[in-house]
Amino acid sequence: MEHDAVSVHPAETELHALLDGELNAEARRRVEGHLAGCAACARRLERAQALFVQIESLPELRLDRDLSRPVLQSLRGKSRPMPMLGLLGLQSLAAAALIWAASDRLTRLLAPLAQVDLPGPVITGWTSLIGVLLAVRLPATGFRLDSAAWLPRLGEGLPDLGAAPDWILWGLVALGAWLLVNSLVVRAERERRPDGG
Amino acid sequence: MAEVSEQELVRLTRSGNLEAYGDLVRRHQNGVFSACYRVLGNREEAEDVTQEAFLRGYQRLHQYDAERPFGPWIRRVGANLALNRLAHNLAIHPPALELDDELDWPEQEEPDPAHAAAEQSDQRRLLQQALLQLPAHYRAVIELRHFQELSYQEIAAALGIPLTDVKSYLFRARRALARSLRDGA
Repeated sequence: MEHDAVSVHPAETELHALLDGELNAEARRRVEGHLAGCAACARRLERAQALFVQIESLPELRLDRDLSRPVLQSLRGKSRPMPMLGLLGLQSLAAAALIWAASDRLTRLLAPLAQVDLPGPVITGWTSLIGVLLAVRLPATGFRLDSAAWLPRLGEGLPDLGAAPDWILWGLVALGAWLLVNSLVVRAERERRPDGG
Repeated sequence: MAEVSEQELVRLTRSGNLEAYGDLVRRHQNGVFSACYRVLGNREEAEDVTQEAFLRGYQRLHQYDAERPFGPWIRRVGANLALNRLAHNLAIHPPALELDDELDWPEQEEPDPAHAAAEQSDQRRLLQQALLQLPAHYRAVIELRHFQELSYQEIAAALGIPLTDVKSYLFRARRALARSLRDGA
C-alpha cells in the first residue's frame, strides 16, 4: 500500500502546497518520496518553483511623483487645529490663570502709576484696566469701579496672594508671560512652515 | 553624507519630526504602491490608497516594532487598505469553473543562455502585465502569498473566504501567469 501511495503522481496543487510549506508532515513525506523516484514530477516541481521565483522577483512598480509632499501636507493639516484645542490652548489658559491669580497684588503695586500724568486716551485705558483687575480680583474689598460692575465675582474662593512675598508674585507673572509668549512662538513657527516640506 | 538609518528616521518621526517621516515615505512609496497596485489593478486608486497607507502608518507608528524593517510593515498596511478598498469596490465571488489542476498546466521551455538577459526582462514585463490583468481575487491571493508571505490560513482570514478557495485561487492565478509567460515567449 505504501508503494501505491508513493506511485501516485501528486496533483499540481500538492506541489504548490509543498513549495508554500503548507503540506502536513504525512503528505510531505509522501510527495517527497514520490519526487525522489519520479523525474517527470521533479521537473514539474522545478517549473513551479521557477515561476514562484519569477513572481517574487518582479521589480517594484514606480510611482512617478513624490508622495511625501501630499502626505506631510495632510499630516500638518490635521495637526493644525491642535494649537487651539491642545497643548497651546492649555498653555494659554494656564498663563491667563497665573496672571489673573497674581492680579490682586499687581493692581496694588501698579495703582500709583494711574496717577502719572499721561495723555487722556492712555489714562482712560489704564484706569479701565486697573478697574477691571480690581473688580475681578478684589471683590471682597468692596472697592469696585462702576464701569466694571458687570463683571462676575470671579475671585471668590481662590487663594489670596495678598500676603505672598513679591518674588512669588513676580514668579507667577513671569511664568504666565513665558507660557503665553512660548505658545505664540510655537504657533507662529507652525504657521510659518511651508506645506510641502 | 551618510544616509540616515530607517530606525533613526522612525525615532525622529516619533519625536515629532515630520520631515523624517517624509524621508520614510520617499524610500518606501514604490513598495507600498506596488502592493496596492497589484491588489487593486488600478493606478489612480493605488496611488490614492498608497497615500492613505502612509497617513495610517503615521497614526499607528506607535504599534510598529522598530527592531524590524519598516518596509514590510508599511507594505502590509498598504496591502490591507487595498484589500479593504477592493472589498468595498466589488464582492469577491468564487469562479464557477471546476478545479482542473491536472489539465493544461503549461510546459516551459528551457531558457537559451545566449538570450537569457533580454528574455528575463521581457518575461518580467509579461508577468507584470499578466499579474495586473488577473481577476481581483486572484491578484489578492498572489499578493498575500508571494509578497506579504501570508499562510493559506492567514489569507483565508484576511479575505474572509474558505481555505479551499485560497488554494483554488492561488492555483488558478499561478496557472494563468505561467500561461502568459508561455504564450508571450
